[in-house]
Amino acid sequence: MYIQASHPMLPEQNGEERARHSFLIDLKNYLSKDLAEGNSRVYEEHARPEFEAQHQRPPRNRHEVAAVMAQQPYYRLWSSLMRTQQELYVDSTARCVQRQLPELNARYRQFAERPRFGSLTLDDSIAIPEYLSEVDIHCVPGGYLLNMGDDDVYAGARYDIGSFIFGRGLRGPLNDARGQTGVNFLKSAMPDLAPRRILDLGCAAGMNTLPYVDAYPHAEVHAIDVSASCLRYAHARAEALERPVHFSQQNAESTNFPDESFDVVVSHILFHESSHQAMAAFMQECHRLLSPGGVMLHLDVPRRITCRTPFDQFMGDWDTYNNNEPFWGSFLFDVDARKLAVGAGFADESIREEIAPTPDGKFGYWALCASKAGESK
Amino acid sequence: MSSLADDSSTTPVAPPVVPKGLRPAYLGDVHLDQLLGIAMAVATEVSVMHDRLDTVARLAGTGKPFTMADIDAYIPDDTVASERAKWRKAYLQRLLRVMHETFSPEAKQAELKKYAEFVDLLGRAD
Repeated sequence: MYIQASHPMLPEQNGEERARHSFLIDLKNYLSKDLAEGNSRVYEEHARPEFEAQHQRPPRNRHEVAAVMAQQPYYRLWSSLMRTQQELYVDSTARCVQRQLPELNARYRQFAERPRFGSLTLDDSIAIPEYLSEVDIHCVPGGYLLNMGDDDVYAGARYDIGSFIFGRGLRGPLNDARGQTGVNFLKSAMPDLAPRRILDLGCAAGMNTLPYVDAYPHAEVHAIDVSASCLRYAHARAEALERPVHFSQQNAESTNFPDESFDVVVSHILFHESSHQAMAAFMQECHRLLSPGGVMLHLDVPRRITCRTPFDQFMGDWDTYNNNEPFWGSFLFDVDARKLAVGAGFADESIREEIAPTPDGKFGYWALCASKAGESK
Repeated sequence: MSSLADDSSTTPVAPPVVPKGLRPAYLGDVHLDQLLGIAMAVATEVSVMHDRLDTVARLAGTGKPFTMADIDAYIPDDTVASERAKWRKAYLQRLLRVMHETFSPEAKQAELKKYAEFVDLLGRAD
């Protein structure tokens, strides 16, 4: 059984829902482990020979593999099952949150009226970037941006339990493996780092923000996102867990914080859900916000820069075409993140791009870390 | 557009149930994909029902009376959770058995041809 650590804002899952989610997690495991290998066999036995017969050469890239794999019955059935699994768990978590939404919204109100640790600043005039408003990422109806009222926490609450299930329970009981990975990376790479102010960009429900509060108790921690619902939930969740974080509704491409106002700026899975132009803007904003000697650290899905074959890249690209992740493939395979960082003003020699292991060592996230020139004060 | 409010009349606004964008067609006919969606939803509920029946059986096994609330409140311990996980793995293998029969259609065709020849031979023997 996959158990998420309980806190006053976490949607309660009844016995039926727990059973449903356990099955859907195991279904995803079965599809992505036991049955995914069949695609490789189908490719070697059928798709590649068919392509070679037609073109007198093997496929050169993931797009050519896609064209020929799309004709394979096994791959099509597997994809249909994968998509169905995604829809079933999204639907189940949505219904779970919806049935208790009035209580969750009321709990948010209680925390928001008497915050004891942090703060929340919303701005309903914020312009939502088109790359977020035009797509429901991960096939979640309404996505991160759904806002059903002044006290609504639906999008944040659904994201908290949904991402735990999507991650098959592997992100830890507080669903914060990315934040923990970022902290581990910084502690290991820069043991003397003592930031006074930390900013988390695109924090969503705030799960990955809180590890920085624990790791750097003397720092003032801020977190921003464009989603009001996610921020309400994140604020109430942080209050419930007694962690001081100052949340505000802002676009990470251009914030209202003064120049050089943070010593550390981090993000978690922000990049692969944003446009190429936005990624460049994030880097530039980081450079503007960082104090001299300050550090930016971005964690994201493991970029498949090591995927050697066109077939591996094709499989890695599945979410782009089947799970409403329009920037997934280009982030994994096409974007030169280091170049974007250099373009934003970070010195090439200050940049580290690698796979950062999770605290349990079972997994790794892509990490890009860079320091702003100058001596930290 | 339909919404989750269909389940709850107490919430005035409800999230949509279908994400933006056109759903990819995988199986050649959109109805086949929809049928697969229905089949997998049923398969999910079978697993849910299995767990509930398992709960009832275990509560009954204690020999003490129990109520609906006891069934709803039951949390499996590690041993029960592990047994249920094992059941789900075996269930998934049975449920998705056809996926394993997809490979080597040429070999299957050869077997089929051999079988047809065998049946033909039997017919001629009459």
